[in-house]
Amino acid sequence: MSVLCDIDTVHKTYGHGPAAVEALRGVSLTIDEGEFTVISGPSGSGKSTLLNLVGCLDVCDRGTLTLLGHDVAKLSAKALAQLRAQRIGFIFQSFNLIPVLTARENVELALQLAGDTKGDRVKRATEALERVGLADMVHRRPNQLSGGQQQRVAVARALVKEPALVVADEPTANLDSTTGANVLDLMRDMNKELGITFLFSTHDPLIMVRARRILLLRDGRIEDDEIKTRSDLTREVERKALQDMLHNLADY
Amino acid sequence: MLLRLAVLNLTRSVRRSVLSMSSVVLGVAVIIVGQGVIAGFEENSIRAAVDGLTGHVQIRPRDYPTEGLAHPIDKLAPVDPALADWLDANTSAWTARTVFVAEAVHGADAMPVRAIGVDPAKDSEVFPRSGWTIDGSEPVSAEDGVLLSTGVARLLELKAGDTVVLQAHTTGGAMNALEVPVAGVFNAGTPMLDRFGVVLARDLARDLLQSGDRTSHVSVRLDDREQTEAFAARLTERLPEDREIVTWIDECAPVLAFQAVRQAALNLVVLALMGMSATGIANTVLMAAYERVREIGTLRAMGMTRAGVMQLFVLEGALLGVVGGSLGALLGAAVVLWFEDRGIELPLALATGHLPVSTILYLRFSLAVAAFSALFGLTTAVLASVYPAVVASRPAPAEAVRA
Repeated sequence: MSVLCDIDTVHKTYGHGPAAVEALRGVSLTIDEGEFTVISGPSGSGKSTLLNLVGCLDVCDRGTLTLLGHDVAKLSAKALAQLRAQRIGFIFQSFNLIPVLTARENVELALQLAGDTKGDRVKRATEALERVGLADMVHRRPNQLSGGQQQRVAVARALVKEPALVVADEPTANLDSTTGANVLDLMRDMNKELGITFLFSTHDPLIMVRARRILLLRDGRIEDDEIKTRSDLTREVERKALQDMLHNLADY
Repeated sequence: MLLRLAVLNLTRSVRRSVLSMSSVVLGVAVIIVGQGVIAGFEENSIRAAVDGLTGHVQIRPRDYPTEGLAHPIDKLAPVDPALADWLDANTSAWTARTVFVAEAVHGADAMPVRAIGVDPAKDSEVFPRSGWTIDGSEPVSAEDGVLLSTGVARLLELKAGDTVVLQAHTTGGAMNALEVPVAGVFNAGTPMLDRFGVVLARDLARDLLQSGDRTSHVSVRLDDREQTEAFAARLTERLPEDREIVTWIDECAPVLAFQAVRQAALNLVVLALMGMSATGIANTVLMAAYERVREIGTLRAMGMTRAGVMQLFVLEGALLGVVGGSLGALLGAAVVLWFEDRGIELPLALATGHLPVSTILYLRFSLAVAAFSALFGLTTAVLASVYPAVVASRPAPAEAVRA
């Protein structure tokens, strides 16, 4: 399996002087093509910052980040935009659909920004929505869809251009557990079928159950990086769920 | 898709979009109506001069007075037959007039009047009566009497069928008076005529002034008023020593000079209105930019460049300009065309002194002005949306997407 992203001693600091916050402190890791990887960690650990850097939404201060053979720090803003448009898909916690566009137009917009020709766009956008089970909702606007349906549109939007990488920031945080599980299964299927690399940031055990690799980030550093077997993960999640339930019962 | 997105974005807050667009509508409409009024005033002045006072070109005694009610008759002269032949060959129409000051007397009331002795057969060819209203009839011979202006008739309390005494000095200096019937009362829409004018057949003027074939003015009508200066230059070569030429351009000069002031005033108003439009549009686009930070972040994450975001917001401003400019052009054109047909009655007080003006102002519509105004509205809207577009595109994608 070839390397999709190589991160070497990356630092990222926000702000200046005494107010400066060092979000990443020399993170190094490699992400291979086809991975389904979770970045976990407490709030402020640097998960979102790392996702931003890998998703080319931001660039690091020090170190090197090579994505798809490009040294990201050396790319112009326009080249970064082009890389995002053509090779990276995004799924956000709050879905981030364009409210005035229909489901199909939201998906089509991703294709347009990726430079696809007009004739092909409608067909591909419709197919992408069919793939996520929204064939009969292509003309609905986001406010006419449930949260789960909106996130499915977001998944279709991220996948329609067949990107090399999908960056998903807490994709199930605003969904109930059943809907979240469905959306995750959908993404897992896409990962298996299309070989698209998924990189998540999350606290959600549901995602961790499905991830093959979990990176634990703390204070801007990678504390743990392990590829676990499914049974390990399931046990961990069940243990955590049991702890949470007991904790809640104690409170009650 | 970008255009559709821009259109749909404007529909998010229809009231806000309509309000800011209405300022463009108003601004563009004001330009068109204002220019229509200015052009109308210009045409009004030209028509008053050409149709009521001078024709396109007028020959009159040299150093003829132009202020007050002064029409000396010491330089009356017959029309030179050679000149008459030349005028026949080179004009659309021409006519001779004798203008003099007389006193109109009715009972105990008397007032000075501007008497105009006309050739009944030819006068209307140079000075069309289409804009006149006549209560009674126009005299065609000495026996028919006189046609009084509304101003004279009102002051002397005369109407068609009454009699009036006209008294004037003859060319020899003696005082002469004739009691004549009032053939009718006219309103030409030209205050200079309507206040003190009395029209009479040339024969009656001859009787009163004892002037024989001599006249004071020769007025000429051309096929095209644009030929006036060229014609006047050719005519000058044929003029007797004691005659001079005055054209409608000379007569209208004071009014046309005032047009520059009107234009400057309109420009100021337009500038203020367009400034308000620009502020309204900038505010609308800026508010949209602040409200849609996360969406902008999403678009940036999806690969839209900063220039693309700016393009989207400028497009939204441009759409406000296109729709506002078009509606403004339609509204302005409708107003101008309505008053181009019906005219606006001006207060008589506007027409003072010797300025050639008509009491009915017909606005003038110009397609070029309408197109320019709409384009001006569009340009204003586009320029006004540039700054908000820059603001909208400024946040880094990583920050914007989580806003």
